[in-house]
Order: sequence, then structure tokens, then C-alpha cells
Amino acid sequence: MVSQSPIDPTLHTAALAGLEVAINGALQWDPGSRQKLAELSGHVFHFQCQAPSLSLYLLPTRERLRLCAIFEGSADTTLTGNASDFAKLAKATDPANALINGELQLQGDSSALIALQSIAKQLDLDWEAPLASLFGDVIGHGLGRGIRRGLGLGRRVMISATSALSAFLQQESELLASPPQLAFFYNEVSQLSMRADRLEARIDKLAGSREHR
Amino acid sequence: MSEPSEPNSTHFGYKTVHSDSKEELVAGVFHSVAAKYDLMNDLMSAGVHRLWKRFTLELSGVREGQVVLDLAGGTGDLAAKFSRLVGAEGTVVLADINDSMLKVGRDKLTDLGLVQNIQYTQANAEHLPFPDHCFDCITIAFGLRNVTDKDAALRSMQRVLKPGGRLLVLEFSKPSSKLLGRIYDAYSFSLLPAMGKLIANDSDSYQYLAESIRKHPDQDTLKDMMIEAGFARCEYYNMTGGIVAVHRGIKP
Repeated sequence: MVSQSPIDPTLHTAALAGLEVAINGALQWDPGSRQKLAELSGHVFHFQCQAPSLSLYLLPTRERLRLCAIFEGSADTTLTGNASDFAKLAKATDPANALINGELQLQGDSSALIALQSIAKQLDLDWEAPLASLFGDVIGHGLGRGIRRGLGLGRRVMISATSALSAFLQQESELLASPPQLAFFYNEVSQLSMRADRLEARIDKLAGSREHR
Repeated sequence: MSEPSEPNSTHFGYKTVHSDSKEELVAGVFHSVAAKYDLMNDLMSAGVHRLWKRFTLELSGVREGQVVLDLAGGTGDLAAKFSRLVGAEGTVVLADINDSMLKVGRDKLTDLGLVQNIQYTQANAEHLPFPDHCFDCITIAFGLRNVTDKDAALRSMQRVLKPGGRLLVLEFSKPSSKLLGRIYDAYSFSLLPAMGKLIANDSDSYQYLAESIRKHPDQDTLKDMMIEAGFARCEYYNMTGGIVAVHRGIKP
């Protein structure tokens, strides 16, 4: 049998090695998260991303976190879904709610996963350290600065694009109402609903007094 | 792979030599490169050999308390990682036929503070000096192609593995694409010896390295050899387009 994943194991391993160095680097300066992670020591998490097709095992130990593409044994928590679903869970303020109402399929222990999500949310990854360890200080620093700038630009472009799209839909094309217009509309509907309730109550009262006569 | 036509003869790179002399010739190569082995590995592979070894480590499935043999372990890259994985209750045996490589490996691991669970043995892979059924895992990384009688070495490894134990052979192999094969040929027959000359002042050893890779069995042949030696569930993973492959087999 020839065993071959869609991605060359060298690339997969490089990505995991880089991520592992970045996470452990961040944990080095965050004793609180390290302590919380140590409590999950021995637990095996398996993340199966279907689109794109990727598989990742996450193994917390007392000192550090290990990331593997292959693990011989069964996982305590397995999470299956698409990359966007994983991203939603990672950003969720209420992970339990995100798991229940989201598209991800969970098998095994959910409490450990919720604990892991809260640790991951607090971590501030420094990409420069793994890049420097892989390519040397000079190239690593340049690449790290490039990634930071790229991510910053991406965020600004995303905010700007969202704002422009919102303005176009509300003001230019008038396809959508603006938030104040919507609030005014909801208020009017609410007032109308209350008036209708009052009218119904008055009619009931008048009808009742007529029957008594 | 073409076998030498003369009886009792084998390959030493592209040369055909008497089987008895290959061991000595290979020893000469590794005595020469031992001191700069790690540096050359990093330069030749642009650091990618670390990723190949890391993936091999994942495939090993080694756990705390297990006994691991890192055969042809050279300067101890894999042994260092296994030492951390098996912990204080486990044991790692770093074995190499070449005493210069073994000395470099021992010094390096001692400098890293890894002394508690590592043992060192100068051993020939064809005649392993260990009792039957004593290792949970054996790895041989970039070593099998230098062994004179590869079949004997695989049988010897099978003998010393515990039932259920696994063998991992990490070795240069045959690129899966013709274009990559041509680029790789150009690199290994022109740039590699030049780098060897520049860094280690020894172009001949690196010329041998390139030649020995071409003479090594390809992926399917090596898999068949492992099956022949008595391993079950044999499989291989191509890495970096087949330039390197890791074979895995289980002792039934």
C-alpha cells in the first residue's frame, strides 16, 4: 500500500512545526495559559478539516504542546468540519453555544475542548520566532514583518470593504434600510402592536358589558 | 535496482567493489564527514531533513516507557527526540557502525543534557548484537543504503523487534516526477560535491552520497524487501515529491 495524503507530508509537517514553535513560544511568556494547558496533559484532540482536507492531532503535555499529522491511538475529542466552522469556534465568545448551534461535529469530551478554546483565544502568536528558527534571524524578521503588515492590511481592507458594501446597499442602491430606519420601523410596529392589543381589550370589555345588560 | 553481476560484489556508489571491502570504504566516507555532518545536512537539504525526521517520529508512535533502537543514528538527531518521548522509564539505544559518527553523536547529546536514558553501541546492522524481541521500535534514517547486505540487515532488525514492534526506514528514494528527477540529478551531481568541497573539503564523499542514492532500491523494491524479511503491513510515504520516502513495517 502506498500511503499518501493530498498534501506532501513535508509541507504538512513544516506547517505544523512552525505552528507548534509559535504556540510554544507564546506559552513560554504566558504561565497562566501554560498552567491551564498542563491540566489537559494526556488528552488527545483530533481536528479533521474537510475543506480544505487536513488532519491535525493536538497533544498537550506538562511542558509544551505537540502538534502531529499522525497519531497512533484514539483521540479523546474529535472535531470534524470545514475551516470556516473551526474559525467561528475559535473566535466564539460562548464556545458551548457555538458547538451546539454550529456546523461542527463533535465526538468525545466537549469540556476539554471548551477549556482549550479559551486558552487558544488568549494566545498572542508571534510568527517571527518560528520563522527565524527556520530561516535565520534576518530572513525570519523580514518575513515576520511582511506577515504582520499583510495581516494588518487584510484587516483594514476587510473593515473598509464591509463599510463600503453597507453604504452601497443602504444609500446608493436603497436595497437595505439603515439601522436608524430599521429601529424606527421596529418601534412603529411595536407601537401598532400595543395599540391593537389595547383596542382588542377594549372591544372585549365593551362586548362583555353588553352581554351583562 | 541493478545488482552487480560478479558474485560477492556490491555497489559502492557507481563502482562495483568486493562485498568485504564496502564496509571499510563506507567507514572512510563517514570518518571524513563526521565532524561537519550536521552542518552539511542542513546546507544540502536547506534544513528540510529536520521535517523528514519529524514526520518519521510521528509515524513511530513511540510512547513513554518504550525501548527504541536508532540504527545508523549518526549524530543523534532522532535519538534526541526519542529520548524526550520515552521519558525516564524508557530507553533509547543509539547505534552506528562508525565510531567517529558515534562519538560526535554522544558529545552532541551529552551537551544537550540527554544522558539519563540513552545508551551507545557500535554495531553492524547486518548482525545486531541484541537478543530477540527487545525493541518496541527501530529507526534507520539515511543509513540503509550504506549497508552492504540490506536483506540481512532487515532480517536482523526483524529479529530484535518485539512482536507488534515497528521498523521505520527513512531513506532517499526515487522522485515521482521526471522533471523533479532531472532537477534533483543536476543538483546532486554538480552542486552537492561542490558544496562538499567548499564546506568539508571532501568532494569525493559527497559524490559517493549522490551515487549511492541512485543505487538504492526504489520505493516498491524496498517495500518488497521488507515483506521478504518478514515484516507485515508494509507501507511507505513519499516526501518532497519522492526524493525521500519513509517505509514502515510491523513485526507480526
